[in-house]
Amino acid sequence: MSYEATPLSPTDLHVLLVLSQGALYGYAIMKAVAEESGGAVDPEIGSLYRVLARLMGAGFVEESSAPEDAEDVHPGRRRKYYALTREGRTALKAEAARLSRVLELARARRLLPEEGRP
Amino acid sequence: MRESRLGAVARLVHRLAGAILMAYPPGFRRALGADLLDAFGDRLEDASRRRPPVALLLMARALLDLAWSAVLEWIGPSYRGGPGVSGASGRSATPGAPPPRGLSMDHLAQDVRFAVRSLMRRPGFALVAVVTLALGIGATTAVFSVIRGVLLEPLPYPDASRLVMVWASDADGALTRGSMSQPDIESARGMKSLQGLEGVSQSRFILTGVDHPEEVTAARVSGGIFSIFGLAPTLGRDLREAENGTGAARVVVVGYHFWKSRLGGRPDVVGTTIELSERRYEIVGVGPEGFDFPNHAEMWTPYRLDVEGCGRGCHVYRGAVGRLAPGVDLRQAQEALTALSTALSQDFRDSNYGVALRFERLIDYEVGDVRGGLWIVLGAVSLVLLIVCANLANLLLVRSSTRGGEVAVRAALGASRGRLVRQVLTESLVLAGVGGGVGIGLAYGLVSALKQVARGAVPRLDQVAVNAPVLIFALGLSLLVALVFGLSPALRLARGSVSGGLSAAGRSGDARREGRARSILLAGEVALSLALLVGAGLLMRSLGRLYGVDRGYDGREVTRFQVSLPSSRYDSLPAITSFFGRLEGELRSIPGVEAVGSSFGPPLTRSAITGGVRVDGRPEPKPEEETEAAVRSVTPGYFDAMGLILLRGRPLAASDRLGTEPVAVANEAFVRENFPGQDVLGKRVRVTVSFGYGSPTWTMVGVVHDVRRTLDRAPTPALYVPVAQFGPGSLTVAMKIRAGAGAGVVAAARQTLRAMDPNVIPTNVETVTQALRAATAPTRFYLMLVGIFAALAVVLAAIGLYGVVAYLVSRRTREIGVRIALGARRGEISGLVFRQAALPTVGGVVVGLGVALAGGRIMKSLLFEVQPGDPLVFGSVTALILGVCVLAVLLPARRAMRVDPVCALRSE
Repeated sequence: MSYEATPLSPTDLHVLLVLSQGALYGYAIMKAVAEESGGAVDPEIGSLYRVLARLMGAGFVEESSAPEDAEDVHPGRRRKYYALTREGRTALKAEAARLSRVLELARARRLLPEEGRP
Repeated sequence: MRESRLGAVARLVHRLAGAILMAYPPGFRRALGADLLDAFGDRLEDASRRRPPVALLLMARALLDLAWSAVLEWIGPSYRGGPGVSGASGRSATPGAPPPRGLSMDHLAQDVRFAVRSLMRRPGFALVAVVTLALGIGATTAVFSVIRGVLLEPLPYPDASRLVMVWASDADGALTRGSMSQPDIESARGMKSLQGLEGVSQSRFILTGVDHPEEVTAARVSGGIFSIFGLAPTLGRDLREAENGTGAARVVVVGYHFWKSRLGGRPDVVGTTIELSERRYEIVGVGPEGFDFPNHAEMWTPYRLDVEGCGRGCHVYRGAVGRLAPGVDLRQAQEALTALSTALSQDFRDSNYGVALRFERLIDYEVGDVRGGLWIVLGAVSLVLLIVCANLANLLLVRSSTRGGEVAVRAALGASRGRLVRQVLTESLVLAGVGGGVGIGLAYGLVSALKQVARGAVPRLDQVAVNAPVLIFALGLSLLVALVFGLSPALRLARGSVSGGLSAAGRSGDARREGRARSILLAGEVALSLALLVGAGLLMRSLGRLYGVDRGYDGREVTRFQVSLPSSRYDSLPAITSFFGRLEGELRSIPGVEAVGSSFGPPLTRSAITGGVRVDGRPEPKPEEETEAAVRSVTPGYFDAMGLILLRGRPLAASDRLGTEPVAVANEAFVRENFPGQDVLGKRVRVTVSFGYGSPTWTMVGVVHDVRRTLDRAPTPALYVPVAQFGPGSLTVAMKIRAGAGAGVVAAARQTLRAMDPNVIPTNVETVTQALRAATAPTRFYLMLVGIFAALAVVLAAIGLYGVVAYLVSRRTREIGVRIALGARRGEISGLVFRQAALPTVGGVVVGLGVALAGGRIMKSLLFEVQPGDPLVFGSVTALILGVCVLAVLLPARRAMRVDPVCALRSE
């Protein structure tokens, strides 16, 4: 099945993108999404958890144990960590491929500078 | 804002978030709730490290998003259970299936933009909505901020809920906060349920031995009270039990403010002396910062009581303050105290018969008198807010039916029903958000206005402010309001009347249902505004009764002040008599002064001397048969100055001196109670008082008309006796001044007094009119607020009625045109319009009368000599409401009569 017909929403995409680096807990995901998107996608906690619930329902994200090297920013609290599933990674790759075709098209139509040139 | 306060706000917001979480669908909550709340905590922790305004904004944003997400989760659930959520093992979702598209903040922004655009297309509606919402939310927020500061905020002491007062009350409950005797306090102090109990009394001194003697407010106490409050003195020590005896040295603990302002805050002040009313006191300590119990006390000094001479019958303390032992329930403690009172009244029949000692929480003593009233005011303003909601719901209903076409088109183009419902809800949220924002601005102004108006009627006003909890209240209120008024139009859409919008014919069933909803809302508005108007009417009648009550004195143009002679020099009846005789003479010579007289315990003051009545020639009464009377000592000019009415015999005269026969003038209540149907003149009585220079046996020479000491209590038995034969050395001097001569006279009186004795200064200078205003301040305060809210309610209900009827007329233009074309008379047309409004109006009036009858009973404590079901109030309010409704319908009715049948028929 191809994803071209049903692209991911910006928030979904950025959450998956953040989790592709490794498992994270809720608030860390929120901060990373805002940072990686340059503030373009800046979900609040309530919205974020609805996105997480949806992505888990789709089988893209699952709960996981804390990674070995997890730094404890808020000591004393036990966190649920969320990780990308294999399906999630596949979906993310497909979306990235779709986006890169979009970029190629945009370049071909001179909407963006050529790769390697300013 | 300090960081700790931000932390407190963050904790509050976190708790609120927990509450909002309960509004999420249960499945979502169980799977993700706990973790979401943790993440929310992280968010708040980070936010509170920012600057306060930014931090508060971030918190508000997070909270709003959480609430909004709850709504979205119900409309379009993102959570569908499944193993992907409950654990890491096994996924049932088809691998690679795209996640179902849900709703998010992105949609919210889109919805909001759309709502704003749609509202801007109807600026009139948006303006009315925002203005009425702002008024409703602003007024409710302002009243809430008063309630929070006055009633809900704990007193500023450690473990303040355990602080209590002990009073001596009547067994029959007529007297609830009676004064206490030293031995009774000592008996109660021994109870296991108490940790400390001390008697307190208010007192005034003149700070003497300085260039400009000044009055200071002091407290006489039976021992140190700081430890009861869980506080420690700033310097030195607190007072000691042993210092409370006639033989003990004079010591004083000065308040922190007095120390800073009058003693320069010197650290070596302990051990030095100050002069109070010409006696030297050693300063043994400085009180805790900010502490001024009771009643703005600037210093505390022992009573130095002669316990032998002044026993259980000698109620010198205004009351006693104490602390309950940890874990003791007030009810249990009261049971023990009641048992103690019973034992005391058996052991000491003479002094304690019928005396029931009673606990009262300190917070209730401070604010208990206004609690009922303030909640009633909050109730009144909430009714106004409800009317605002009903109004807006109605306007939105009307709008949604005129928008039927638009909605149907969008639905046909594929917008989901959920999306349409959200659209309507978003519009209400945007309106409530803007209205709430303006309302909060309004609340700032209203709070400072309220504090002005409430001065003298409500205590603890310094605690009242628009602060974080109040803002959160306003925010929550706006959300709630949006749901309340947005719900019925949204539900109507959700029920799916969209298809009807496209076909003009498909409307009869919906229209009927819609009409019913409108009528119910309108009837509700009429009912609530009628109830509010009745409340205002009852208060207005009470105020009229208060002002119109037979006070028994004139008091107009009377200015009065208190004079306390230092007992060190004025230590005999002749000294006191001659001072006041000279003072009154000099005051009479001031131009503009028409009469002068002095008294102890005049109307509208607290001080009173009371005792048991003994009639010459009758046997000593048993305690249960004893009658009580007040002793009011006056100078001969007093009756004239205050305009008391002599009914029989003669007034007191200058010839009634020490050495001549002691005489008294009785009031009617005294005669009624002690000599019913008898000639009282010449009868001889005594009153058991141990105050002033004691009670001789008085021969009664006259009777005066009853005087009310307070406006709302019936007159009680009293004897007027000459100052020259009784004392005391502390009197209130009343000057009747010719109209327009006021200000200069007061200045001249001050000068006279200073020239006679620089250490005697006038205190509590006021006109009797001012005292009357102060006495009616609570009633005026409640009347003003309930009156304003009632007026607002009536205007809103009228607008609502007008809006709906005008809409109905515009919708039936064609029908009306046809009727006119067919020859209907004007009267028939306007009858048609009035019939539309008649049912909701009459229904509303009937329901409103019921609500008002029930509500009036709640208001009973605020009313004076007016029954909650007062027919005059009910009748005139009903007439007023009906009149306003007729006016509101008249305009659209006239428009209907003028419909041009040709235009009307052409329009479709």
